[in-house]
This record gives sequence, structure tokens and C-alpha cells, in this order.
Amino acid sequence: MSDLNTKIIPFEFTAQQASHSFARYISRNKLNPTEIFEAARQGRVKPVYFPAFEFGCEITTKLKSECTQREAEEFSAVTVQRELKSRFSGLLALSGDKVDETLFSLLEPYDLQGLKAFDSALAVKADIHQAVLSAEEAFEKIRPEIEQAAVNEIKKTLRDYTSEKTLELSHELDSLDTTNILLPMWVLDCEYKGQPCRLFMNGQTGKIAGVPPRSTNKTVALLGAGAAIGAVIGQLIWMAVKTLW
Amino acid sequence: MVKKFIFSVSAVFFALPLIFCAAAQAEIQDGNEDYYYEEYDNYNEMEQDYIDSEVVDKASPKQSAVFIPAIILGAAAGLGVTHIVLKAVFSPPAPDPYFRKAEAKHEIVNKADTKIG
Repeated sequence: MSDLNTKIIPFEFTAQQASHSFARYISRNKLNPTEIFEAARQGRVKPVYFPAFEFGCEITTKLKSECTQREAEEFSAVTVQRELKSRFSGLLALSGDKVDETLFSLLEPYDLQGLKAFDSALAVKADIHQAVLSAEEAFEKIRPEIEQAAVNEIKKTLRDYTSEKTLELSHELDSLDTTNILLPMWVLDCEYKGQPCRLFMNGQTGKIAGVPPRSTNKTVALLGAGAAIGAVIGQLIWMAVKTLW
Repeated sequence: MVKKFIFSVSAVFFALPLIFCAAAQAEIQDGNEDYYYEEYDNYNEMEQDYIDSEVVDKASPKQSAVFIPAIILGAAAGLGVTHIVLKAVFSPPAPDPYFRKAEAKHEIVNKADTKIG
């Protein structure tokens, strides 16, 4: 992965800034365990480069449908054919397996204008995760969504018809450009009651994602306090009802 | 958003204890009727006793025994429902995993609409 064809986005935050951001993120939810907050405050964060691919592609989509349209009081059938050429750029797909796709989507976007040629000096202080997917495999992962986007675009041209039934649909990949890239992330790795907890921070923008486990003690205390408030309100209502009736 | 938040919290915290109050009241009445039937040989005797207000004190312990758990349950249910409502109101929709930053250009290069029949 770390060769001359790889591009890299440099880290924009120091370990201290990352720790501070994680601590602030955790402290926002009062039910988060103090242990995790302390782990962040003590700077137990590490910089990691996650391997990914940036794709640019051209795809041709052909659709043949049977549609109906309304003319005066009558419906008539129409055979509709469309051919669409779509060009996509800046499609990102992770090639490692250490970050869940949904979590990754929460860390996005990365500004790809910030991509630089691979320089070992930039990556020297960070771990580089191994890629487990080839470019083809990673592209196949995102291909259904690319094709769906093309179909949606074609269907926009069929809005004047009252109904549409797809007869034939095909996609052809005309070209595919692939760039190996390394995305910077700060990772807070800790444990709470034997449960692993991993939070991620976009090393370029500072955006944080990940859900820490809830503190059992704090949750019980909150429920107790809520029940007590509810009981007091209920008691007041009860007293009011009793007085009025 | 703020209005929705206030409305949800207020509605749940105030409506549920009221509902549980009503439920508890109904329970108390049922319980009291059972109590009366156990105590008296016939309904007329019980009714007369009730009119004389001699049974009010006997019914009181039963009232609080039903009412306090009902209110605590109501408050706990209120919290649970509030949590679900607030989560639904404030949770952002999950972003589309692949088209967060991608640029797309589309061009229709062939278009044909042929009437059948």
C-alpha cells in the first residue's frame, strides 16, 4: 500500500488536540463512563492511516420500459428507451476491514484536494493498516449504489408518465480510474467493563464518530431520578385530584 | 425543534402520570369493592356502612399500596417513551455511505418514446 502510487492526506491535528476533542465529545453525553473520558484525557490516542481507494468512473446505463400516459380520458402505452452516460469522481471505498462502513460515513467527508504524494516522513509516526480488499473488490462494493444513482437519474425523465414497468436494464462500465490513498484517523482504543470501545476522529477535519458504551451506574441513577421526579409530579397531581374531587 | 422537544417532554411526563392516576383510581375502586364484599354479608349492609363513612379508613392502606408502584411505573414508562420520542425527533438520518462527497455528471445520450398500437 505504501508505495509511490499511493497518495496520502496528512494529519492536521496533534495528539494533544485529538485527546482534547475526544474528551469533549465523551463529556457531552452525561451517561458516558468516566473511565472512557479519563482514557481520552490521559491521551491514550493513536494516529492511524486507513487504506482506501478513490475511484473515478464512467458508466453507461440503458433502460427499456413500458410506460402509460394519460391523454384526455384515455390511457395509452408507450415503449420508452433511455441511454445515460454518467461520470463519477471522488468515490471513496475503504480497502481495510478495521472500520465499519457506516461509521466511516460519519467521519466523512475528506477533502481530496488535500491529497499529497506518499512521503514516508508524513507516515512515520502513524500505524498504517493493511488493505484486505483489491481495487476490484472494493469497487464491486460500491457499484450497486453507482448504478442505482444512474437509474434514479434516468427515472427523473419519466415523471410525466403515470406508470412505469422496467423491461430491460443494463449497465456497462466504460472506464475506471483507481488511486490508492491513505486516510488519517485518530483512534481512541479503550475498554469499559471488559467491553472494547473504539472512537475515531477524522485526522483532517476533526470530526468524531463512534458510540461509547453507557455507564450502568449513571443510567441507573438517571432512571432513579426520573422515577422520583415522576413520582413527585404524580403525587402532586394525586393531591390536586383528591382536593378537587 | 425546541418546540417539539418541550412538547414531547411535557406531554409524556404529564400525560402518563395522569393516565396511571386514573388507572390506579379504577384499581382502588375495584379493590375496595372486593374488600367490601369480603367484609359484609350483603351489599345493602356494606352500602349502609359506606354511607356512614366507616370504611374510608380501612380502604386507605390499599390505596397507597396500589398508587405508589403505579406512579413509579408510570414515571419509568414516561422516561422510556420520552427517550424513544426524543431519539426519533433528534436523530439525523443515516448518510448515504458512498455518495457523501462524490461528484456525478449525467447526460442522456439516447432517448426514444414509441407509442404502442
